[in-house]
Amino acid sequence: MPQLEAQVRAEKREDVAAGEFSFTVAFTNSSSEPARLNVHQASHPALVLDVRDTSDREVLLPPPSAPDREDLEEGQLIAPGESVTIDYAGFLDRSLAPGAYRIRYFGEFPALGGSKEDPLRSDWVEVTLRPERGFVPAIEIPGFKPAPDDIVPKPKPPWLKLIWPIYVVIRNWIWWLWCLISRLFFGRRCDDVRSQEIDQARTETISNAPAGSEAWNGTYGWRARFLLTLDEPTCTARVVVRVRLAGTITAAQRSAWETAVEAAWNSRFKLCGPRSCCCDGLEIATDIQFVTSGEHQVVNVGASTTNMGNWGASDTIDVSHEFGHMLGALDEYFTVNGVNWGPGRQATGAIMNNPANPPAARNYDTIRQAAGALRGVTYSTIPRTSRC
Amino acid sequence: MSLTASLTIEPSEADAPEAFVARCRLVNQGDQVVGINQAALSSPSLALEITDAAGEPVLLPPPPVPSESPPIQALEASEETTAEFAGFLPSWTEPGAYRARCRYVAGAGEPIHSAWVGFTLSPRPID
Repeated sequence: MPQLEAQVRAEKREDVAAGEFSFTVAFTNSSSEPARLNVHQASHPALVLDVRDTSDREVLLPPPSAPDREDLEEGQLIAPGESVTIDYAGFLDRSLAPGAYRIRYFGEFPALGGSKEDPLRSDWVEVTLRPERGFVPAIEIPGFKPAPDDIVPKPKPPWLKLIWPIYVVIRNWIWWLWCLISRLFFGRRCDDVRSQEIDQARTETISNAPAGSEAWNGTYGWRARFLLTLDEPTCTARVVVRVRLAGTITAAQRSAWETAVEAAWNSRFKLCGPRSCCCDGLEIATDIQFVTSGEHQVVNVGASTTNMGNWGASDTIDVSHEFGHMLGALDEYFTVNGVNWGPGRQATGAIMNNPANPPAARNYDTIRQAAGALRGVTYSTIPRTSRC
Repeated sequence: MSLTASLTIEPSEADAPEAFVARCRLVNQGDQVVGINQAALSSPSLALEITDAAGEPVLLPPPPVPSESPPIQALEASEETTAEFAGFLPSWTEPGAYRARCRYVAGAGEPIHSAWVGFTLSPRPID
């Protein structure tokens, strides 16, 4: 019997989008001797996860990345009674047919906690994948407008300011009534969930850089890649960016990146649009997932953050700005694509000008346009605390 | 200016974009101290120019937001400084032959360039 025990847990098992399923394996040393596990190697889903469909046929996973130095090391020692955990995310391909699947950890090599004769295996986790609706995988956004619509609200005249709250209440009430009628008489279920992989080319030209920063003048290009899910039951627009890391980083540093990025971009704005059961909009929620295959982006870990693909291991400020590029946001300093933003890192600048500050609505414009294309409507982006 | 630039890229061939490491070396060939703007060497997006086999530029993602005052390093006569860029090639780069050169923008004048260096991103083997 292996020295280690593997226990699995998954937060969401029912009605999951394949690309969003994630689960955690906790390895506990239940013996009285130290046990060895190569956590780096065991983090490759294709090497250790056994996925089966309802007919018990094996579901093939994308191949692991080429082994690196850490993969080939002996692995870390786990003291008696101690545990380590590994999170697995984004390993189920979106093309998987909807239905029930079961997944378990299965390590049949010493570096993975077991052996051919005596593999380390967890219990099975049952998961139900929901049908994927929408377009073909990884599209560019139809009719994409490269410059964000920076909608500046027109000041309302005083008389309109007075009656505006009444208008909003009446409009929401009428909309609620329409939703009710749609459900009762037209069978509208308000359970529409649709996902789409987005792969949008972005370019920007920086000019007018001041003395000392002339090197910034130039044209840059990248690809904004993410999985967008518009979820009517929870009224959210979820954006998942899967990142594969190249280089050495501690779990604490990786966790700090995730916390910083999601704190910067989440719970701030929502998409408002017609023809939805979400009368008060879809809140935009981003999720950076660290994966070992099936990535949207590769990030090289280094001493400092030098662009979207090279992040400083101890940096928790500039990485949130670079994550904005992954979402399709343009820079907002010097002159970018003909728009003069002034110097970088202004006290009042949004995140694409000053990485220490929160984003502006326009910074979600690629998401807004992708959502509009997915639903065939036009959305606007407004603060989460405002009414649609 | 008395600065010269040279570039090395290792390995010269690989099947993963993140495997390449570029090292840009600036040498002060003169007999005066030269101030080096480290900001201009702080990102591969600023210090590297890459073209594909057809001579078309390969665009890199934007550099980070610059700091208010650029850090200046004094480079004595005959001294050198090296900037290293691991994983400078974007992950979406297609396999093929490429060449790169180091670019140092000293100010409003012409940049200093290294010679072009070739490297090849080969297709990933099919398992």
